[in-house]
This record gives sequence, C-alpha cells and structure tokens, in this order.
Amino acid sequence: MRRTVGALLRKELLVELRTLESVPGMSLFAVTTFVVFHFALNRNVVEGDLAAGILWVTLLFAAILGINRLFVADAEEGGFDGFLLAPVDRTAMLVAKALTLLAYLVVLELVAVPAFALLLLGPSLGQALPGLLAPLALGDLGVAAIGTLVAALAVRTRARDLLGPLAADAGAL
Amino acid sequence: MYGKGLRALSISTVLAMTAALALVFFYAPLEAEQGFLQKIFYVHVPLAIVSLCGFVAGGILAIQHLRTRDAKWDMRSYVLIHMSLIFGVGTLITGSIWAKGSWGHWWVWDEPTLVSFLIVFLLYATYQPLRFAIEDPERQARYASVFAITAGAFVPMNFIAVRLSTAYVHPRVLGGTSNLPGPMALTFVISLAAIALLYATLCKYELTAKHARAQLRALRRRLAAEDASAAPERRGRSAAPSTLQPAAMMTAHGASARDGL
Repeated sequence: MRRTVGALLRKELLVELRTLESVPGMSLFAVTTFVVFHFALNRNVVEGDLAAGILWVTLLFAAILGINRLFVADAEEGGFDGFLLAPVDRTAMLVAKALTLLAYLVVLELVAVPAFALLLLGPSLGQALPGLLAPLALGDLGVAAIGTLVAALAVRTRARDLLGPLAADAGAL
Repeated sequence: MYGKGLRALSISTVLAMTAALALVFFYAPLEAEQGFLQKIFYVHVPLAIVSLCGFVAGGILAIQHLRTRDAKWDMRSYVLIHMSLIFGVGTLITGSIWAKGSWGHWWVWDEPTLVSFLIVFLLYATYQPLRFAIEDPERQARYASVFAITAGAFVPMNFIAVRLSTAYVHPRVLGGTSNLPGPMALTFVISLAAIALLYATLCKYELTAKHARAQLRALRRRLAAEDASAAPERRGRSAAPSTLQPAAMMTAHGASARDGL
C-alpha cells in the first residue's frame, strides 16, 4: 500500500512539474483575488476577522481550481483504467490524490500567504504567522481529504465543472 | 535568420549598461529628499516603460500575425510578451524596494501607477497558461494573438484612466524629463536606452534560440525519415543507423508544446 501510494504520488507530482497546470494557476488566481478584494472592499489594509475571512475564501476558491483538475487527466487519458488493471489496493489512489492536493495547497499557501501579507494584511507577517500556521495546516488537511472525495465523485458526472466546485464548497462548510 | 547582428547588439548593450550604471553611481547627483534610495528610479522606471512598450508591441505584432497568418509574427509577439513579463517582475520588485524604502511598506495601494501596473501584469500572467493550454499550434497562435491584441489595447487605456483619475498624486516621471535637473535627466535617458537595448538583445537571443531549435528539430526529423526509408538496405552492414533513429524520433516526439514555437 505504501509503495503504491508513493509511486502514485511521484507520478502526480511529476505530471504537475512537467505540465505546470494546476499550482501556478491556483497561485495566480489567489493573487488576483486579493487585488479584487482590495477594490471590492475599498480598503488598503485589512486585519482581524476581515483578514481571516479574505484569506480563507481566497484559499478555498483557489483550492477548488486544483480540486477540479485533480482527476480530469486520469479520466480523460485512461489513467483510471490503467490503475484498475493493476493488482493493488484501490484506496491507494484516493490517498495519493489527497496527498497530491495537500502538496498543491502547501505550495499555494507558500505563494498566497506572503502575497496576502504584502498586499493587504495590516500586521506584519512575522506577527501573524504563529497564529496562522496551525489553522492553515488543519484546514489544508480537511480541504485535501474532502476535496479529493468530491473530485472523485464529480469527475464522472456530466456537469463536473459545476458539480465539483459546488460540492467542494458545501463540503468545506 | 535571427542570429545576424546579435554580436553587435550584445556588445552595444553591455556598453550601454556599463555607461548607465557608471552614470547612476558616479555622475547623477543624490536626490535631496530620498538620497541614495532614489537611484533605483533609474532602473525601475525604464524597466516599467520598456515592459509596457513591449506589451503593446506584442499586440501590434499579433495584429500582423492575424493579417498574414504567418507563424513568425506570432513567435515574435510571444517572445516580446514573454520578455516583458520578466521585465515586469523586475519592475514590481524594484518598485517594492523603493516603496519599502520611502514609505515603509512593501506595497502601497495609494499609487495608481503601481496598482495599474500590477493589474496589467496579472492580466499578462494569464497569457502563457492560456497559450500552452492549447495543443494545436495554429489555434494556439491565433488565440494567443487575439489575447495579445486585446490586452495590448488595454495597457494604454489602463494608464490613461489612471492619468485622468483625480486622485493622481504620483510624481510624473512618465511625463517627460522636463521636471528633472540636467544630470538626472541625462542619466535617466541613458538608463532607458540601456534597458531598451537589453530588452532587444534578450528578445533577439530568444528568437535565435527558438529558430535554431526548430531548424534542428526539422533536420533531425528529416534524418529520421531518411533513416527509416534507407534502413532495409543498410541492415546488417552497420548498427549505427538503427541506434540513431530511435534517439532522433524520441527527441522529435518528446518536444513539448513550449518548444513547438
């Protein structure tokens, strides 16, 4: 099981490194959303609950972009069939995908949190970071687990581009 | 095709950069209020101007591509925009350093010029993902051109809007050099020329490299095709062609869309 997960995870990360499809898009989306928040709220700096809300909404929406793409390549290019033919535990795929999504989220936050601190956050990042790390880590775990499940459900449906985000949003709640 | 004049251009760029840096550090006077920090202006503003002009020029080349449907215009447009993006990163970084030095924050929203530059930059940051998400090279070129034209038209509009906005209090560095004292203006003009030359040189290098790579690939493919047709006769005489052929085929197939320009 561990070897299967390791192999799948390596494949996922390799594919992402070669295509650079998900993570750069997610990061760009997050940064653009911060700019949009600046104009929408008409505020130069945010702090407290408002800052937390903006950060969460942005990270969640950016995560949904990644969730949406998580299984698409496998569904379209026959990755599922190949995996089903292999004599390994099926759970491995779910675990590997969840770990992939977790890795995406961590990289996303490495970009988005400093960008948020730079563009909008009132207190400096050094002050905010200690209180931010634990919620971010827990949130990532939750979003990765639920997001993977939802993505796996949505990928075979007709309106997956609609259903995926909808279910991921509701799931995150 | 693109390699001609590359050496002369490179040498003049090096000379201009050296001259500009020498002027910046040894000739231009220290500004009264900001002191040494103000010297980043000689890098920051030329970078911004050159990268914005590059975006607009990329749009104009894209118009040419749509008119002629010749792939070389699209390649030029792509290289200009690509290089402008890199210069844009430089602009944002130098601007942040300047902002940190003079206002104490890495980023300030009160500067319409900064904000509009960020918007333009974010807009163009979607150019490459859009481009490389399309597999068919012809459609890729066409869609990228349409994007480049629309975005290129947006660039001056964005900055005109900023100029017209009443909250405009930015020192008008873009409004000509008339408000600068002589030595500063001279240094600025030389820096601008140096950065523009650097931009042109880097673009030319990239175009040359892309062209050479495309040629190499075409030659390899031809070699592979010749090998394939000649293989039955040569079999048994030497092992070299049969080992060469898979290698050549693999490179031809392994080339990513990024190299396909």
